Amino acid sequence: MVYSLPEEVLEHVFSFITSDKDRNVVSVVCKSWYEIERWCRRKVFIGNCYAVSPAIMIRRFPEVRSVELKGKPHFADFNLVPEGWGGYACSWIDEMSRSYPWLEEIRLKRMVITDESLELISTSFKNFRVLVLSSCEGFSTDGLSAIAANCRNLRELDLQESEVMDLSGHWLSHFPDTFTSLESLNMSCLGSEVSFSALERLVAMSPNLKTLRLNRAVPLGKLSTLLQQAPQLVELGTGAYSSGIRSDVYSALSKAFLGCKELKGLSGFWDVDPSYLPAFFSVCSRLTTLNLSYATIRSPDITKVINLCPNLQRLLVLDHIEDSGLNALALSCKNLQELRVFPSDMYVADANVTLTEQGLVSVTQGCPKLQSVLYFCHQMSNSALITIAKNRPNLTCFRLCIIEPRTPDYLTHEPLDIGFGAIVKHCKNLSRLSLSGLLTDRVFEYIGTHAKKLDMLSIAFAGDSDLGLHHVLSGCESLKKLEIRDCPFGDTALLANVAKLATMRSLWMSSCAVSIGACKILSRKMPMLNVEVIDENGTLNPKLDNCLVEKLYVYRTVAGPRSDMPGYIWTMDRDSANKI
Amino acid sequence: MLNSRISSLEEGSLRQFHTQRAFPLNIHPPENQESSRRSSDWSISKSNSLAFIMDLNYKATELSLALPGTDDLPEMNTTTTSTPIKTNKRGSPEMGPSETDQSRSTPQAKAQVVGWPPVRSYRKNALQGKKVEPEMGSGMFVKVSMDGAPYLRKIDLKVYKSYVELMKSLEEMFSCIIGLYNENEGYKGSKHAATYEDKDGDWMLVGDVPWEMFVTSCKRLRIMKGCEARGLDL
Repeated sequence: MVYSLPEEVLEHVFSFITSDKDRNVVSVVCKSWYEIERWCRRKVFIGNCYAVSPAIMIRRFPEVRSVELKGKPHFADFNLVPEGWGGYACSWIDEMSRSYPWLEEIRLKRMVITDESLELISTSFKNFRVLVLSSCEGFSTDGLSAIAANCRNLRELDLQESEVMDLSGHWLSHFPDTFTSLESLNMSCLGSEVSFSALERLVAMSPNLKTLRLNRAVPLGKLSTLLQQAPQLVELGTGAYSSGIRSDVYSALSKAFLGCKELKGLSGFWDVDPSYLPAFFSVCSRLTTLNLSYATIRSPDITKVINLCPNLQRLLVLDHIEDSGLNALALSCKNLQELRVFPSDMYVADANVTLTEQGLVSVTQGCPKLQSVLYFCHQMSNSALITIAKNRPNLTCFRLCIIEPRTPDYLTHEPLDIGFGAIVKHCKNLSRLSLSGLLTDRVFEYIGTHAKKLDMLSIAFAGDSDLGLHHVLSGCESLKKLEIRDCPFGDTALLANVAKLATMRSLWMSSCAVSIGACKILSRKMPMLNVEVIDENGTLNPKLDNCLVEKLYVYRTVAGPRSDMPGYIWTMDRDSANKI
Repeated sequence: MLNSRISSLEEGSLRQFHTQRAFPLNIHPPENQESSRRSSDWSISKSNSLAFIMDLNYKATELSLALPGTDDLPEMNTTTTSTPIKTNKRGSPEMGPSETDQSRSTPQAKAQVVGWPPVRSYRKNALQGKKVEPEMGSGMFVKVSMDGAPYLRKIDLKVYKSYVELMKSLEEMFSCIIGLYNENEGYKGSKHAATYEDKDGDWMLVGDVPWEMFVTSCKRLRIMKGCEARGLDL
């Protein structure tokens, strides 16, 4: 018989393996490795909270310290998922409170969590350290008060872009006088004022505070006070960045920034008054992250800032940066890895903003380390896309949004098929792609042929026929998440690729051409998938097989159909009232 | 098995599939014929653009009882929350001063697509609040002439928040003292008076109307010698 290493040794070796993928691989080597691994797994990531149940997770991994869950489909960010869809954290928190007394970290994304759950968290886990609620909703500042009051060892509280019912700014005062462990606080999404004295007190008693993101309501005049208390900050999100014409505020702020020798990331900049920008110029040379995407300042001011930040790795900005600003970026920031350009005007090209495809081309040309792009613009050409692809074959994330749906190449009036084709052909490690503009089935043929490492694909207003979808489902070997809206994709492609769906995390299709009949067939053929038909308008007739479905969400699961579906969701589940 | 599926897709059954697909009346977009859809949808969005442009002009000539300048929206104010009401809940209590601005944004003639462009409500709402401030780039430059000066100047009215600021700036520019007209004392102690030409072509004394109204109706400024200005005394 083969000698095997003692359990303790294996456990020790496994403790160096932190990536989920590696852990999963380790666990299937043999039964004993599976057992050892499951007892020592400390971190669990669940990309779709309905793919598995809390009981299953707890049964397999009894000693977990950190859980990360994602709830609603990504398109919920753009209001495509109706209210009450689901993603409730309640059952997870309940069961974990009973079974994971040593839980330290909870990270939720696009989930609904109540004040009761927050309170339960605060009282159940004695060593609780990290709470991240990203794009979540369902709770109020009362829940935050409970967290503040009871989590004695809290290190991180991050409410990134969550919808919080703002009942009072006094939740901050609930941190006790003995509380000194805070390292990171992100309250930028809160609408109303927080008690400034409580905030100041908190900052003063947190010597390890590294990240502080304030909300809009914190006036600029107070920022310098906070910075003076926390010169060790590494990440800062300002509040409102204007203050009338106050030279005293300016000089205090300037002095405070001078003292922040560790500052690497800046964000916030709500309501910017450009005359206050120079106050932070002293930290620019050290900045690696800059988020100006809420700052409606103009290109000359943006350019001035960029020219001072040679070490910038990550830039988020509005299209006010214009091509001229992007040219400056290409010249100054050779370490740039990620660029996100957001639209200032959602619907019509602002005549005063000249941001075109040229800006993006410049950046891909000038920034050799650029890997991730999110770009909103009004025009694009195949030649620009081809240039981008050839300039930057190391792109891993390319999300282009041409604001007007079905916009063709503005030079040739052709579809943008060959442009995107070049992207997938040259960027061999592309893992995330979002398409836009006028696109035929051709582009999907290119994607199916070349995008072998593609993990997530977003499609809108594209394609001619089922062939398009078929190319994607049959060709993209690594595809895990596919979200489609307003495309003529339907039954044939779906039913020709049912097995593929079991290898993916989820598929979203809305305003496409999928019929109820196909959903029934899919459900019958693939019992390990939950096929959820969303009928918000109440027009669905489940008896009529060729009736088209409004929205469809399909995901693999080992937990069976979920029990918290709202009335507008139809499934094949025999016991549900909404049976198709 | 998959391969045979693929070949059947590309040959016979795809054609078959097209004829099979008779859409019932209750479908949602995208519409029927694939071949014509692309071009017809493109023309739909184009005609929507036309309607939208016409809508802008309509707004400019619209009659209303409100004072000019009180309902002033920037030229390109096209943002509106097209998305269902439920998303606006982030907008109201949490965005403070921007509340009223959101409620004033005009609905567009152009059909808004739900969830497009793909920008999070959080961001949309945050920037909507910003939209009320006219873009500084557009500005509102008016010529300023001073009697006796060899050349004219231009100033951006949007930069100032009140008459006091404007006067200070004019005084600096022309190195003169321009008093603000006072009903009892006239232009006390000053040799010059500031006047402006309004939309109707009339020359008015600066300071009579509310600031916002002045900014929208002022076409050019003229700084008159005091002796001429006194003729305006009632």
